[in-house]
Amino acid sequence: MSLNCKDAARLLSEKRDRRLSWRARISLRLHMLACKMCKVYGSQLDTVGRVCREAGLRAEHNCPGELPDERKQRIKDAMTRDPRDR
Amino acid sequence: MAVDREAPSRDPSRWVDEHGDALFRFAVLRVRDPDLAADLVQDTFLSALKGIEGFRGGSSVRTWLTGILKHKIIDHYRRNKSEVLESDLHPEGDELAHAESLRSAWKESPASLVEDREFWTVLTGCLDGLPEAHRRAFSMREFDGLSGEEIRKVLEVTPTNLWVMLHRARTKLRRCLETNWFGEK
Repeated sequence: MSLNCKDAARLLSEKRDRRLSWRARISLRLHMLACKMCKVYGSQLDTVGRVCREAGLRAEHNCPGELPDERKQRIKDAMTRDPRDR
Repeated sequence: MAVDREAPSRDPSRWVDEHGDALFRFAVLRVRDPDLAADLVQDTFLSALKGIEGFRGGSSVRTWLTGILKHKIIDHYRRNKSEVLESDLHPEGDELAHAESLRSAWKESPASLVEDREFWTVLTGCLDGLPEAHRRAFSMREFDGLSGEEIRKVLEVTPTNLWVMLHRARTKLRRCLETNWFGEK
């Protein structure tokens, strides 16, 4: 039943993607009571998840980069061409 | 007099100027290759033009175009399988997730981080450090919130392999953010 930190880290990731077995949930909870590092680790994974969800939503405004002018022109040309030639 | 605010955007000749940069940024965060992102944006506009009858105005033009782009990205993953290396999946390859001593819980709020240009540079740099297959899985899961089941269908991997890939990606990304952002503060 007792977990090492490596197993705990794996379960902390997996619980973000699926429902863990009750056995795994209890082992993880016990480990987290005793291990401060894994607790911090788990909260950092939460932050990674929340930041990335936010980044996914804000990317169209805030992600660095823009469509180069030359590509914009090419796309406009392709859009005005006869559909059969595209 | 009633003004239809959506009217100008429905004119396809203005799409590229009004939405081109936004769609490009959406794509480039996810695929991390500017040429590929531009190609996907081009495909999106051409498909949208062809399917313009299907746009009924229930959502904004931007939302409609973004939905098409999401499909283009997933189609790209399907058509161009990324090799999953055996070494990327071997559990023994797992590094101890917090081998270095952890400073403390990260305090900055996600909402303020994504308004910070420097943070974006660090985040995208860290994404570039992930193996392609891991980044694809991570991106669908964390940026778009797709379920494991949906991601497995796109990547054609077993549940166990997907969990390993996501665990690896998170471990590496967490460490990279710690080193280059949170630890610096």
